[in-house]
Formats: sequence, structure tokens, C-alpha cells
Amino acid sequence: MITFIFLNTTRIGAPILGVIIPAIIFGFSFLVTYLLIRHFMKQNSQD
Amino acid sequence: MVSFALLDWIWLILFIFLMVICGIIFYKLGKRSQSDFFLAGRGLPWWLPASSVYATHTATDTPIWVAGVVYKYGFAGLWYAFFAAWCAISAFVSTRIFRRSLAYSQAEWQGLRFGGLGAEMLRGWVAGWQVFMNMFILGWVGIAMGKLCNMLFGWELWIGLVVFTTLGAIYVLSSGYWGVVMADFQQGVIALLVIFIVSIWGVMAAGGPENIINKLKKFNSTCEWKVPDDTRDLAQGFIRITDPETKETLISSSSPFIISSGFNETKHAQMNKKVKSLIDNKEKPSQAAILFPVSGDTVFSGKEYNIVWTADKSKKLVNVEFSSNGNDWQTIAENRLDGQGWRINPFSFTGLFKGQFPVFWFVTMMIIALIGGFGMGTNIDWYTEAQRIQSAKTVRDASYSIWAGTALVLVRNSIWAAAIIGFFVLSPQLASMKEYEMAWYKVGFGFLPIGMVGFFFAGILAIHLSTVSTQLNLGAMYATRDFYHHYVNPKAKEQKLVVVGRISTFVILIGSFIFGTIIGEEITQWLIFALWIMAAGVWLPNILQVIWWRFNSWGYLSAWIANLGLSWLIVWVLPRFGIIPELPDYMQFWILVALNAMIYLPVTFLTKKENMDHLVKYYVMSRPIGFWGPVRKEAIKQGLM
Repeated sequence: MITFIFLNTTRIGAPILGVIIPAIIFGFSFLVTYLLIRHFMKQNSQD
Repeated sequence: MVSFALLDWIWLILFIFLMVICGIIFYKLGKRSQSDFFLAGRGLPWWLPASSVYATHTATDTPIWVAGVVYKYGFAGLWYAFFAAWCAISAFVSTRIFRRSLAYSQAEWQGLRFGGLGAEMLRGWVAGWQVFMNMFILGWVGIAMGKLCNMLFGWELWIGLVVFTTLGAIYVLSSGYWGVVMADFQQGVIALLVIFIVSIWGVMAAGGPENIINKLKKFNSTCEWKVPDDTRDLAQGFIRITDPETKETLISSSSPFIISSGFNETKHAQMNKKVKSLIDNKEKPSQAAILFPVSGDTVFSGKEYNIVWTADKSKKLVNVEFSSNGNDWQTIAENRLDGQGWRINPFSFTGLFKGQFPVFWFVTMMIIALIGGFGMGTNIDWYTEAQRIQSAKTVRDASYSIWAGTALVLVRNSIWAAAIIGFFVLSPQLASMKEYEMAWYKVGFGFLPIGMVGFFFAGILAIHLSTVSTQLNLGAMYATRDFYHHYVNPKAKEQKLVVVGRISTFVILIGSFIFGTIIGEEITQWLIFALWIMAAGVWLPNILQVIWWRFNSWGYLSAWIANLGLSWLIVWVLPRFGIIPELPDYMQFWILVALNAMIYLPVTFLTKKENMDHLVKYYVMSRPIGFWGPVRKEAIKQGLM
């Protein structure tokens, strides 16, 4: 029988962090992936 | 249960949408040839397969078992995850040899290394085993995701299994390995940062590094005390700490705690919260005392707990004892009195052979990990790594990718461990593995602010999808390259092979759903046994096939077959009938290594050597290190070197 996860919820940090940190990390990871996609598309179109 | 705010949903949906799009974009590249569909055209710079190695080996069940060993053994528990260090040697030995061979898979490599009927039998066996294993692993990690979603959101098990595995299958079906490696890169970046951030939050929640160390020195905690089954509701219990030599009572309960026969989740959660505040407030305990369970606490019969009490500077061993009436005492555990500081020492051995962390176990594990790097297949991870090795554009890129990817895995474990030690300080009373192995998830969902909870779940999804996509594509590669292309249709055109690759991906996806739904606790144990079989008896043959020219396919096959029987005998059958005692795992390992050698070495010498021309061809192509003198001489004689 699976039980629910027991959580002692105590939120730490300012609520604005919930906007800033994900925005920076998602933005960074997608930007780098986009540049990578562009690089490989260009490289493969030359092959 | 976890509640999501609107902001959490926004981050989660945004992540899923963009990530799947990034994977699908490579549709045109993936469909060109089987080399593209399974190896991204063998043209990747080292850091891309490295990120894939890291992302693939971070799955939803990884933080669960890392939390389990670190909570129980402290930083020393990290050694349980150190087997990944086989790549430190492999990156410069077997990785280079494998990349030079140009084989797509381990099964194909064995067809190049060995020759004749034995090689064909091996290729078929390894390919079949890998198709099965990838399906099984997918079912395993898929159901782990299903269980996690059940615990977090109350969803039915199949929802987490089917929805999130299918999500990964979308870009694997369309773009093959191109989609896998590009999504892995992006998922790897997100997963690493999520792990880092959640661990910072975990350490902060426990009051910071200095506070964690101080608290560890100020209290003690036993391991896994199971409350006796008591049918009477509201029975009483007492705990005391005694000196085993003088029998003197050092610390004892002043008044009894309650043992309840019926489990109550709300009371259980309240008690966990109370212990946390108790530990927080006991910065400088004025006198020695039992901290948990004490008067007013309720523990539940049949459940497991750790007893928590204050420490002093004495290093002596003490007995932790329980009584239901205050007169008759039984020993629960033996423990030191000087606190839990040992948890931050990764070398806190318990003796040469004794205890939970003996030196001999550590030495065995180091040998398995490091020497194993000379071989191929000494670790189950080799099969996924082999695909990444071949996708790198040069031999040097392959080496760097395996080394860097594994270095990230080991760094990741250390970051996790910091959060788990912080969690232990907050909840030292947990003795049920099912509870404490969820520590990292509890830290993330319990302490992060709104918005970051959705971001955290996106990170969990990232680590899940990277594993799922890899296993789908890898299983399909064995089915396409080693079965269809090798045995069924050797003249198949590249476009046809890509179509077969897609069909195989779909079949493995469906197979994983079937395995996922039938997997339970017992089957997981069987899987662990299957992994153990692969690690123990064939560990040395996996090295010998790389470094010794005389080792042949019959020797390797006999090692596999013998190991299946011998591991059963040593691990289960003989101990069950009392013929040999139940041995610790490191002893089982060495016995299996020795017994197997007594079978495959005679078989190797009694059967024919591999054909010399076949060996020369392999040697010139792969340039293996080790004992290859006669083959090298022949290659020089033929003017090939």
C-alpha cells in the first residue's frame, strides 16, 4: 500500500524567488539549447 | 500531498512544451540513416555525450537510493554510489578501444573481437538481453515516476508511468538519438541546477553547515528500532541508555511514552514536526536526556523509529534498551555516546570485517569500480555509455565525454548528500527506509517557495525523461542493428533501418508499460539480483575479453552460464540449507569470481584459439592494451603495423 509523502511545509525564501530563479535557469538552458540547434542545423546543411 | 499554485503550473507546462519542441526539431537529421538515428552521425563534441552520460544516469529513483544510503551511513554512504568511478580508468582504456572498433553496440563489438559460431551466439545473447533489460529498466523507472506522482498528487499509478514515458517517446520516435542527446543537454543543465538549489535549501533549512555539524555532535541516534507488536492500545514504553560493562544507567526516560496499536498519519506527522523543533531547541542541553520518544509522544506498534538522545564527549559504547513496564529491559542497539559527528566522515569504518561499513567492503568496491574500467560491461552502465562513446566525433572526444560525464555524476551525489545530512539533522528519528529515502523530495517540496515547487517538479521530469529517452533509443538500437540488420535483413537500406528503429522504439515503449504495471517489491529484488549476476561472476571475463588475446568466446559464454548457476547457489540455495553461512556481499563477490574462474579458464584453454587473422584485423582496428603479444607479432609480420 502506498502512503502519501509526509511534508512539514516551511517555505524558505522570498516569494519572488519563485519567479526569478526558474526564469533565469529555464531562460539560460533554452537559450544554450537554441544556439546548439542552430549550430548543428547549419553544420548539417553544409554536409 | 503537494499543492501547486498557478505559477508552479506555468513553469511546468512551459518546460514540457519547449523541451519536446527542442527534441522534435531534429526530425530531419534523425531520419537520414541508422547512424543518425542511433549515434547522431558520430559527430558530437565531447561535452554533448558528457551531458548525456550525466543526465541519463540521474533518474527519479537515483535521489531515492542515494538518500537511503546517506541517511543511514552518513557521507560514507556515498561509497555505495562510487561504482560510477569505473569510468575514470575506462575513459582512457576501454572507451578508446571501443570507439576505435566503430561497433554500434557491445553485442556488435563482441562479434568483432571473437569469431565463428561462439561470436554469433554471444551477439544474439547480448542483444536479446539488452532489449529485455532496456524494457525492464524503462518499466522500473516508469513505475518509480508513477509511485512518486501517486505520493505527491494522489494520481493512479499508471498515469505517471504512461504519461511521462510517452512524453519522452515523442521526441525519440521522431528524431532518435539526435533528439535524445539534445534534450539530454537541456535536461542536464536544468537537473544539475535544480539539484544544487534544492540542496542549498536543505542545508539552509537545517541552519547552515556550521549548525549541522554542531547539532550532529550534540545528539545520538540509533538505527532502526522496530516497536514490538502490542495488541493493547495505548500501552506504555520506556527507554534507557546503560553502560554494558558496569550495568550503570546513564540516561533514562523520566516517564513513559505511549505505544498505539493503530497507525494514525496525522499523529505521525505531528510527532515528526515536534522532534524537529526539539532538536532545534536543544542547542546546549543542560543535562543528558532522552529526546525521542519521551512522555507525551506516541509511537505505533510494528513501525520503525530511531531513538534520539543527547551526546557527551565519551567515545565508549553504550546499550540502548527498551522496556514496556520499567522493570524488564531488552537491548535495542549498541551505540557510541559521542554523537553523530561520524556521519560527516566518509571514512568512518566500523572495523576490518565487522559492522555496517567494514574496510574490506570498501576495498572490494574500489577494486570493482577502478579495475573494472579496464573491461567492457563490468558495470550495467557500460551499455548506455557505449552508445555515447560511439556518438563522439573522435577517440579523444569519447574519452573526455565519459570522464566528464561521470565526474558530474559523482559531484551530483556529493551535492545531494549535503541536503540529506541536513535532512537527518531535522528528522533523526526516522528508521523506516520508505520514509527517509524520500528525503530529497521532502526537502524540495517542503521548503521551496511557490513557483519553485513547479520548477522543482520540472527538474524531476527532466531527470526522468533523460533516462527514459536513452533506454528507448538504446533498446531500439539493439533490436534494429543486432537483430534485424544482422540476422533478418543484412541488405536493408538506411531509410528502412530508421523505420525499423522507430517501430522497435514503439514496441519497447509498450513492453515497458507491461513490465511497469507488473513490477512490485519482489521483482525489484529480482532485478537487483540480475544486476548482481552481471557484476560478480562475469566481472573478470569482461576485463579479460579486452586485455587478453587468448580469452575466447567459449570461455566468455561458459562464464555467463556458470555464473547463473553459481550465483544462485552462493547467494540463496546453500545458505538456505545451512551448508554455508549467509555471507556479506563482498565475500559473495570474491567467491563467485574464484569459482567462475575455475570453470571458464579450463574451457578457454581446452577450446580453440580465435582465428589469428580475425584477431589481427580486430587488433589493428582497435589497438587494445594488455596481453596481445602474439597478435601484435602477426600484425607486424603481415605488414599491417
